[in-house]
Amino acid sequence: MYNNYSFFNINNSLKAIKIVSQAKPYLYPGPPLLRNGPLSIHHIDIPIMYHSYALDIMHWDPEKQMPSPKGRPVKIKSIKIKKEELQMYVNNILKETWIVNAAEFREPEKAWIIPVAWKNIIILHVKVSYDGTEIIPDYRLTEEIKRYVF
Amino acid sequence: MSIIFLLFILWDPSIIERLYTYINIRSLSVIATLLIISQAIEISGFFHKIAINMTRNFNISQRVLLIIILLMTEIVSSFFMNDTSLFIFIPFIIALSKCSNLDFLKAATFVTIAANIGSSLTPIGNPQNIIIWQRYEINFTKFIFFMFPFFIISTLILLTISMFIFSKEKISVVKPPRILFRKKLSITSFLLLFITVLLSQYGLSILALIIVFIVYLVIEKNLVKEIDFILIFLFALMFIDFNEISYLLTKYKILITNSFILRNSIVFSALLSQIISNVPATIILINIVPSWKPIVLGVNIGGLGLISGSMANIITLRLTNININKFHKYSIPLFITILLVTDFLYIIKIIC
Repeated sequence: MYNNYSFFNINNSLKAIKIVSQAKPYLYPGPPLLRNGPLSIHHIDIPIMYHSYALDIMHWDPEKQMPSPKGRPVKIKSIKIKKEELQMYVNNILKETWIVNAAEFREPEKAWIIPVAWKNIIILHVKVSYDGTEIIPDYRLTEEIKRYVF
Repeated sequence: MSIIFLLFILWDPSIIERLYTYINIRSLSVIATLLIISQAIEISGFFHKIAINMTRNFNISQRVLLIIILLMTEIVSSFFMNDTSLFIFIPFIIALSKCSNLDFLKAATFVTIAANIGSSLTPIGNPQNIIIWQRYEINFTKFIFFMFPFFIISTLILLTISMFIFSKEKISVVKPPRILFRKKLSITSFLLLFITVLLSQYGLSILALIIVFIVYLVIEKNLVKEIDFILIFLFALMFIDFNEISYLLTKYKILITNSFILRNSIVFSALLSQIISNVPATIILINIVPSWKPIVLGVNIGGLGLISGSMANIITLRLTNININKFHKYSIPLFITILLVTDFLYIIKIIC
């Protein structure tokens, strides 16, 4: 059968998992992003950075002071956050995260997706190149954060 | 900036007639072009790859590691604007400090100073140099030759102080994984940088902007979508506001007739930059001081001292939440030393 996807090798998933484990100690929280929705309902996302690049966002539950699972941003009416305090919480949470020992492959992006969990919830996805050797950042998010800095 | 502009309109509505002369389209297009190219080179992962390779298998002293990072910061900021080097190297040291005993706050301060010094070398290193380069139509290499002694002296002062500040303690970190390196994007960006410099030298910076815009639209559409138009608009407003201030100073014969200022342009430019930041200071001074040389030295030194001296310092502040007093503890003595040495060398014509 004709194989149009010669770049795919299932064994590379192990490499991808390993590289995310190696990157984990270097992860740190970026500036919290307040997302505004209709009817003044907001939610807080915290970009997780690797060097100068954002990898993914972590949804934050400000009432419980803990992350919310991926796919479930916590909507709130009013908000009061202290950036430094929040970053300190997230720094501690990042230390407690663990890399799920399984990967998903996204063919259109030619990339492995490695889930990162905290306790028993998945809070982040890290994208890795198809050969499992390089981390792929979220470029749009990286630029969004840069604008926040300016 | 917008409020200042509105106040100017209320004060003197005739400012509207002068607007087209205030916005220096050539400088603004060079700034916009370089912002796009820098953004592209940053996301290409080129400098990240180099930084990781140069500091790999860290088993060196804090001092040596910092000196390598400071020199790399200077090189990057010479050609890709100082904010780009900060967006690369400040997160790099944040990451390193998480896995080692590196004194992050001191390191961030010195990296910021290195970015300011490095950016002074070339006409494309920072917005104030771009404005001066375009306004006085200076030859690209002539500009570098003039700034080279200042660059070397400031670098030596910075490195000497770093030798005393950073310990010999070994730093041991496992090599971090690489970010995706996008070779095609990085080669294209270097080529576009070369074309931009060449065209801007001949007053064709708008053409350079159009070329860069079209090329990235074809090869990296997302990059064009994410262009920071607000920042470019902010520069345009700066041109309007500070050119008007300069116009008023000239109209009411404030500063322009002051021979003390003309004789001490380096010190005056540096001090003015400390108060209002170096890009606004440049816009005011290019209309007042006839020679570009003392201005370019003064405004580049002016970025070093107080955190308000340059936008690069503010970027570090926002990226790191660095304590301002801690930043000033190192930046102000460096500012004073470099200012005195440069002014002396300019007077005795070693820098000329």
